[in-house]
Amino acid sequence: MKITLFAMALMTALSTASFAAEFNGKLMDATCANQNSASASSSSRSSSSSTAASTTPSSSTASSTSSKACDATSSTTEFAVEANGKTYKLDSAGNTKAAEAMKSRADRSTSSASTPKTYTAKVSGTESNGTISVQSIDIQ
Amino acid sequence: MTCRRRLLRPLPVSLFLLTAFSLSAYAQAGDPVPHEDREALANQYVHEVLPYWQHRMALDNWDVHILLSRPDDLRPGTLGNVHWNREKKSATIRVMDASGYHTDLPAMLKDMRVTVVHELVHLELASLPVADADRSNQEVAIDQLTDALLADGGGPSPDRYAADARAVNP
Repeated sequence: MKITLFAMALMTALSTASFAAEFNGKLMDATCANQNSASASSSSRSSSSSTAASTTPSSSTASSTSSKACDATSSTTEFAVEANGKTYKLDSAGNTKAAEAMKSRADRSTSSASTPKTYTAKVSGTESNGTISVQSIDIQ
Repeated sequence: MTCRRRLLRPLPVSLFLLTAFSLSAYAQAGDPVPHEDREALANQYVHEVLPYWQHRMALDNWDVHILLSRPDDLRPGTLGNVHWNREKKSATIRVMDASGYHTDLPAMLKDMRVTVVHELVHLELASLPVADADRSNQEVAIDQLTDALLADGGGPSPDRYAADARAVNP
């Protein structure tokens, strides 16, 4: 009985581990990125309806727009990571971990007047429907 | 003859480039300490500087680790960072490694010492919340505090390290 239970636990652990992946990329404010991509897609929809020419309202446009203005900050509560050309949201546990990690770090900049604004994160977890169930997060 | 001239033409240019490159490399190093030794000395130095300043700044109740990081592993435009866990009282300081410095050994070690002390000041302030808008001001204040602390001297001297290294690599 014990052996069966142990084997089942081991199999569960292994199957979870096999789906876990690493996402390395820019850490973003998910709320801001959502708003930007929504407004970008609505503006592209209106522009495509007004012009007959084929346009590329693609996610890359939305992504580049959002990534410019949506850097994660220490006051961000909902995070996303831009990795492999896609934007993944973090689950609520991931948001908590990311917020804590953002508040518990500091840099020494080459010039104190120009602290860099972007953060890179290494997120481990399982992805489903664009959301990562975060196991661990390491912010550069 | 023309063919020979054509073949020889790139030679002075190559020689010039080679000389310029080696001279600039020598000027960057500024001393005869090989790169591997600079890296090893830097590692040894930061591990000696950390406990001294940690004790001096009354941070003995923190478990602080230090490691050298390649510039690519740090945020662009930064020389180091600190990550802490307030509950566990643990922290990791990352200092840019020797590959990111194009100065002589004493200058490199001095700057690494500044990073260590700067990050320790951050630890002192870890319990205080900082708004994003205040981050730059906080960094300026921390830079000034770091300068003030280091102005008093004390601790492992970068010049002594450099002198010892030069004695080994005459």
